[in-house]
Amino acid sequence: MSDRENLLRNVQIADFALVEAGLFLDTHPTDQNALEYFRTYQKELEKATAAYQAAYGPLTARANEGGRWKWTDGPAPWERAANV
Amino acid sequence: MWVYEKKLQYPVSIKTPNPKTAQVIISQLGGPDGELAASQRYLSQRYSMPDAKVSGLLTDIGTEELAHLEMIGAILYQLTRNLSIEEIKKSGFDTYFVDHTTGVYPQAASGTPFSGKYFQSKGDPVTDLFEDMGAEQKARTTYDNLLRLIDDPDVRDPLKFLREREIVHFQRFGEALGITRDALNPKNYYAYNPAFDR
Repeated sequence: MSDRENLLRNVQIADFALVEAGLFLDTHPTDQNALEYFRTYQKELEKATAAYQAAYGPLTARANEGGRWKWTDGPAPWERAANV
Repeated sequence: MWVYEKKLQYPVSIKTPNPKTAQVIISQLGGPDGELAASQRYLSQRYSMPDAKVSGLLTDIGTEELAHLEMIGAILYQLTRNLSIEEIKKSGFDTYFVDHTTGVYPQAASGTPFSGKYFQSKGDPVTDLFEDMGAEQKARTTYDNLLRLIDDPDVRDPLKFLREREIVHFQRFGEALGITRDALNPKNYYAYNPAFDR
Protein backbone atom coordinates (compact mmCIF):
# COMPACT_ATOMS: atom_id res chain seq x y z
CA MET A 1 0.00 0.00 0.00
CA SER A 2 1.36 3.43 -0.96
CA ASP A 3 1.83 6.19 1.61
CA ARG A 4 -1.03 8.04 -0.04
CA GLU A 5 -3.33 5.05 0.21
CA ASN A 6 -2.28 4.46 3.81
CA LEU A 7 -3.25 8.01 4.77
CA LEU A 8 -6.48 7.77 2.77
CA ARG A 9 -7.37 4.48 4.47
CA ASN A 10 -7.14 6.19 7.87
CA VAL A 11 -9.64 8.80 6.64
CA GLN A 12 -11.96 6.09 5.25
CA ILE A 13 -11.84 4.10 8.51
CA ALA A 14 -12.71 7.10 10.71
CA ASP A 15 -15.33 8.32 8.23
CA PHE A 16 -16.97 4.90 8.11
CA ALA A 17 -17.07 4.65 11.92
CA LEU A 18 -18.87 8.01 11.99
CA VAL A 19 -21.35 7.02 9.25
CA GLU A 20 -22.17 3.77 11.02
CA ALA A 21 -22.43 5.33 14.50
CA GLY A 22 -24.40 8.24 13.03
CA LEU A 23 -27.09 5.93 11.61
CA PHE A 24 -27.33 4.17 14.98
CA LEU A 25 -27.60 7.51 16.79
CA ASP A 26 -30.40 8.60 14.43
CA THR A 27 -32.59 5.94 16.07
CA HIS A 28 -30.83 5.87 19.50
CA PRO A 29 -30.03 9.58 20.11
CA THR A 30 -29.42 9.24 23.87
CA ASP A 31 -27.11 6.19 23.79
CA GLN A 32 -24.07 7.39 25.75
CA ASN A 33 -21.75 4.60 24.54
CA ALA A 34 -22.54 5.45 20.93
CA LEU A 35 -22.00 9.16 21.60
CA GLU A 36 -18.62 8.41 23.21
CA TYR A 37 -17.67 6.23 20.21
CA PHE A 38 -18.75 9.05 17.88
CA ARG A 39 -16.60 11.62 19.72
CA THR A 40 -13.57 9.30 19.53
CA TYR A 41 -13.85 8.99 15.75
CA GLN A 42 -14.57 12.70 15.27
CA LYS A 43 -11.08 13.30 16.65
CA GLU A 44 -9.61 10.46 14.53
CA LEU A 45 -11.20 11.87 11.38
CA GLU A 46 -9.88 15.34 12.08
CA LYS A 47 -6.32 14.00 12.51
CA ALA A 48 -6.50 11.66 9.52
CA THR A 49 -7.97 14.33 7.23
CA ALA A 50 -5.31 16.87 8.22
CA ALA A 51 -2.52 14.33 7.60
CA TYR A 52 -3.88 13.32 4.18
CA GLN A 53 -4.61 16.84 2.97
CA ALA A 54 -1.21 18.19 4.04
CA ALA A 55 0.49 15.62 1.80
CA TYR A 56 -1.96 14.90 -1.03
CA GLY A 57 -4.33 17.83 -1.40
CA PRO A 58 -7.91 18.68 -0.50
CA LEU A 59 -10.63 16.06 0.07
CA THR A 60 -13.29 18.76 -0.27
CA ALA A 61 -13.09 21.84 -2.52
CA ARG A 62 -13.42 24.14 0.49
CA ALA A 63 -10.22 22.66 1.98
CA ASN A 64 -8.07 23.94 -0.91
CA GLU A 65 -5.13 25.97 0.37
CA GLY A 66 -2.25 27.97 -1.12
CA GLY A 67 -1.64 29.61 -4.45
CA ARG A 68 -2.80 26.78 -6.68
CA TRP A 69 -6.19 25.11 -7.29
CA LYS A 70 -5.41 21.46 -6.38
CA TRP A 71 -9.04 20.29 -6.03
CA THR A 72 -9.24 18.84 -9.53
CA ASP A 73 -5.81 17.16 -9.51
CA GLY A 74 -6.00 13.45 -10.37
CA PRO A 75 -6.37 10.63 -9.85
CA ALA A 76 -10.17 10.68 -9.53
CA PRO A 77 -11.50 8.55 -6.64
CA TRP A 78 -12.81 5.86 -9.02
CA GLU A 79 -9.42 5.31 -10.67
CA ARG A 80 -7.52 2.25 -9.48
CA ALA A 81 -4.51 4.56 -8.95
CA ALA A 82 -6.49 6.35 -6.21
CA ASN A 83 -7.06 3.04 -4.39
CA VAL A 84 -3.65 1.32 -4.30
CA MET B 1 -27.32 20.50 0.36
CA TRP B 2 -24.46 18.15 -0.29
CA VAL B 3 -20.68 18.48 -0.32
CA TYR B 4 -18.57 16.09 -2.40
CA GLU B 5 -15.74 14.23 -0.68
CA LYS B 6 -13.01 13.17 -3.05
CA LYS B 7 -12.77 9.55 -1.91
CA LEU B 8 -14.71 6.30 -2.18
CA GLN B 9 -16.52 5.12 0.94
CA TYR B 10 -14.62 1.81 0.65
CA PRO B 11 -11.68 1.11 -1.70
CA VAL B 12 -12.18 -0.38 -5.18
CA SER B 13 -9.03 -1.75 -6.78
CA ILE B 14 -9.57 -4.25 -9.58
CA LYS B 15 -6.46 -5.61 -11.32
CA THR B 16 -8.16 -7.57 -14.11
CA PRO B 17 -10.83 -6.00 -16.34
CA ASN B 18 -13.81 -8.24 -17.09
CA PRO B 19 -16.67 -6.82 -19.18
CA LYS B 20 -18.84 -9.90 -18.61
CA THR B 21 -18.76 -9.23 -14.85
CA ALA B 22 -19.52 -5.53 -15.42
CA GLN B 23 -22.63 -6.50 -17.35
CA VAL B 24 -24.20 -8.19 -14.32
CA ILE B 25 -22.96 -5.74 -11.65
CA ILE B 26 -24.53 -2.85 -13.59
CA SER B 27 -27.91 -3.93 -12.14
CA GLN B 28 -26.76 -2.47 -8.80
CA LEU B 29 -26.27 0.88 -10.57
CA GLY B 30 -29.51 1.27 -12.50
CA GLY B 31 -31.50 -1.93 -11.93
CA PRO B 32 -34.79 -2.41 -10.03
CA ASP B 33 -33.07 -2.88 -6.63
CA GLY B 34 -29.92 -0.87 -7.37
CA GLU B 35 -28.22 2.00 -5.59
CA LEU B 36 -29.68 4.77 -7.77
CA ALA B 37 -33.23 3.63 -6.95
CA ALA B 38 -32.28 3.32 -3.27
CA SER B 39 -30.88 6.85 -3.05
CA GLN B 40 -33.84 8.43 -4.83
CA ARG B 41 -36.35 6.37 -2.82
CA TYR B 42 -35.09 7.58 0.57
CA LEU B 43 -34.30 11.14 -0.47
CA SER B 44 -37.81 11.46 -1.94
CA GLN B 45 -39.69 9.83 0.94
CA ARG B 46 -38.03 11.81 3.75
CA TYR B 47 -40.19 14.92 3.27
CA SER B 48 -43.38 13.25 4.50
CA MET B 49 -41.90 11.60 7.61
CA PRO B 50 -43.49 13.23 10.69
CA ASP B 51 -40.68 12.25 13.10
CA ALA B 52 -37.43 14.21 12.75
CA LYS B 53 -35.39 11.15 13.77
CA VAL B 54 -36.89 9.17 10.87
CA SER B 55 -36.52 11.91 8.25
CA GLY B 56 -32.94 12.36 9.50
CA LEU B 57 -32.28 8.64 9.06
CA LEU B 58 -33.69 8.70 5.51
CA THR B 59 -31.44 11.65 4.67
CA ASP B 60 -28.37 9.86 6.03
CA ILE B 61 -29.09 6.48 4.42
CA GLY B 62 -30.07 8.19 1.13
CA THR B 63 -26.75 10.01 1.23
CA GLU B 64 -24.83 6.80 1.91
CA GLU B 65 -26.57 5.23 -1.10
CA LEU B 66 -25.03 7.96 -3.29
CA ALA B 67 -21.62 6.80 -2.02
CA HIS B 68 -22.59 3.23 -2.95
CA LEU B 69 -23.69 4.40 -6.41
CA GLU B 70 -20.19 5.83 -6.81
CA MET B 71 -18.56 2.58 -5.67
CA ILE B 72 -20.56 0.60 -8.24
CA GLY B 73 -19.57 3.18 -10.87
CA ALA B 74 -15.91 2.67 -9.89
CA ILE B 75 -16.26 -1.12 -10.17
CA LEU B 76 -17.84 -0.80 -13.64
CA TYR B 77 -15.22 1.71 -14.76
CA GLN B 78 -12.31 -0.45 -13.62
CA LEU B 79 -13.80 -3.64 -15.09
CA THR B 80 -14.05 -2.04 -18.55
CA ARG B 81 -10.61 -0.44 -18.88
CA ASN B 82 -8.39 -1.11 -21.92
CA LEU B 83 -10.64 -3.64 -23.63
CA SER B 84 -9.85 -4.92 -27.10
CA ILE B 85 -12.62 -5.25 -29.69
CA GLU B 86 -12.02 -9.03 -29.56
CA GLU B 87 -12.68 -9.10 -25.80
CA ILE B 88 -15.79 -6.94 -26.25
CA LYS B 89 -17.20 -9.27 -28.89
CA LYS B 90 -16.27 -12.51 -27.11
CA SER B 91 -17.69 -11.43 -23.70
CA GLY B 92 -21.06 -10.30 -25.01
CA PHE B 93 -20.32 -6.72 -23.92
CA ASP B 94 -20.89 -5.65 -27.53
CA THR B 95 -24.62 -5.07 -26.93
CA TYR B 96 -23.77 -2.46 -24.27
CA PHE B 97 -20.75 -1.09 -26.15
CA VAL B 98 -22.80 -0.16 -29.21
CA ASP B 99 -24.88 2.36 -27.23
CA HIS B 100 -22.47 3.51 -24.48
CA THR B 101 -18.91 2.52 -25.50
CA THR B 102 -17.39 2.07 -22.01
CA GLY B 103 -19.32 4.96 -20.46
CA VAL B 104 -21.16 4.27 -17.20
CA TYR B 105 -24.93 4.33 -17.78
CA PRO B 106 -27.62 3.36 -15.24
CA GLN B 107 -29.39 0.28 -16.50
CA ALA B 108 -30.31 -3.23 -15.31
CA ALA B 109 -28.31 -6.32 -16.30
CA SER B 110 -31.08 -7.03 -18.82
CA GLY B 111 -30.30 -3.72 -20.59
CA THR B 112 -33.47 -1.96 -19.36
CA PRO B 113 -32.60 1.69 -18.57
CA PHE B 114 -33.11 3.04 -15.04
CA SER B 115 -36.68 4.05 -14.28
CA GLY B 116 -38.49 5.95 -11.54
CA LYS B 117 -40.92 3.02 -11.65
CA TYR B 118 -38.44 1.12 -9.43
CA PHE B 119 -39.50 2.97 -6.29
CA GLN B 120 -42.43 4.65 -4.60
CA SER B 121 -42.89 7.72 -2.46
CA LYS B 122 -46.35 7.00 -1.10
CA GLY B 123 -46.58 9.85 1.40
CA ASP B 124 -47.58 7.43 4.17
CA PRO B 125 -44.75 6.80 6.67
CA VAL B 126 -45.69 3.20 7.61
CA THR B 127 -46.17 2.25 3.96
CA ASP B 128 -42.90 3.86 2.86
CA LEU B 129 -40.84 2.32 5.68
CA PHE B 130 -42.13 -1.16 4.81
CA GLU B 131 -41.04 -0.54 1.21
CA ASP B 132 -37.62 0.54 2.48
CA MET B 133 -37.13 -2.63 4.53
CA GLY B 134 -38.16 -4.73 1.53
CA ALA B 135 -35.85 -2.72 -0.74
CA GLU B 136 -32.83 -3.38 1.50
CA GLN B 137 -33.58 -7.12 1.49
CA LYS B 138 -34.01 -7.15 -2.29
CA ALA B 139 -30.67 -5.37 -2.71
CA ARG B 140 -29.06 -7.86 -0.30
CA THR B 141 -30.41 -10.76 -2.40
CA THR B 142 -29.01 -9.11 -5.54
CA TYR B 143 -25.56 -8.86 -3.90
CA ASP B 144 -25.88 -12.52 -2.82
CA ASN B 145 -26.61 -13.46 -6.45
CA LEU B 146 -23.66 -11.41 -7.72
CA LEU B 147 -21.39 -13.12 -5.18
CA ARG B 148 -22.59 -16.48 -6.52
CA LEU B 149 -21.61 -15.44 -10.06
CA ILE B 150 -18.26 -13.72 -9.40
CA ASP B 151 -14.95 -15.32 -8.36
CA ASP B 152 -12.46 -12.41 -8.55
CA PRO B 153 -11.57 -11.43 -4.94
CA ASP B 154 -10.87 -7.82 -6.04
CA VAL B 155 -14.52 -7.54 -7.13
CA ARG B 156 -16.02 -9.62 -4.32
CA ASP B 157 -14.44 -7.51 -1.57
CA PRO B 158 -16.33 -4.24 -2.23
CA LEU B 159 -19.52 -6.23 -3.08
CA LYS B 160 -19.34 -7.90 0.35
CA PHE B 161 -19.00 -4.50 2.01
CA LEU B 162 -22.07 -3.22 0.12
CA ARG B 163 -24.04 -6.37 1.00
CA GLU B 164 -23.36 -5.79 4.69
CA ARG B 165 -24.61 -2.22 4.44
CA GLU B 166 -27.97 -3.48 3.16
CA ILE B 167 -28.34 -5.53 6.35
CA VAL B 168 -27.47 -2.56 8.60
CA HIS B 169 -29.90 -0.28 6.74
CA PHE B 170 -32.66 -2.90 7.07
CA GLN B 171 -32.06 -2.93 10.84
CA ARG B 172 -32.17 0.88 11.11
CA PHE B 173 -35.38 1.09 9.02
CA GLY B 174 -36.99 -1.47 11.32
CA GLU B 175 -36.19 0.81 14.26
CA ALA B 176 -37.56 3.81 12.35
CA LEU B 177 -40.81 1.88 11.78
CA GLY B 178 -40.97 1.25 15.54
CA ILE B 179 -40.42 4.95 16.31
CA THR B 180 -43.14 5.87 13.79
CA ARG B 181 -45.65 3.37 15.21
CA ASP B 182 -44.99 4.49 18.81
CA ALA B 183 -46.55 7.83 17.88
CA LEU B 184 -49.67 6.18 16.38
CA ASN B 185 -52.73 4.50 17.90
CA PRO B 186 -51.43 1.04 19.01
CA LYS B 187 -54.89 -0.47 18.46
CA ASN B 188 -54.95 0.64 14.82
CA TYR B 189 -51.77 1.97 13.17
CA TYR B 190 -53.81 2.65 10.07
CA ALA B 191 -56.48 4.82 11.75
CA TYR B 192 -54.97 7.81 10.00
CA ASN B 193 -51.98 8.85 7.90
CA PRO B 194 -49.76 11.06 10.11
CA ALA B 195 -48.27 12.70 7.02
CA PHE B 196 -51.68 13.90 5.80
CA ASP B 197 -54.57 13.67 8.28
CA ARG B 198 -54.75 16.28 11.02
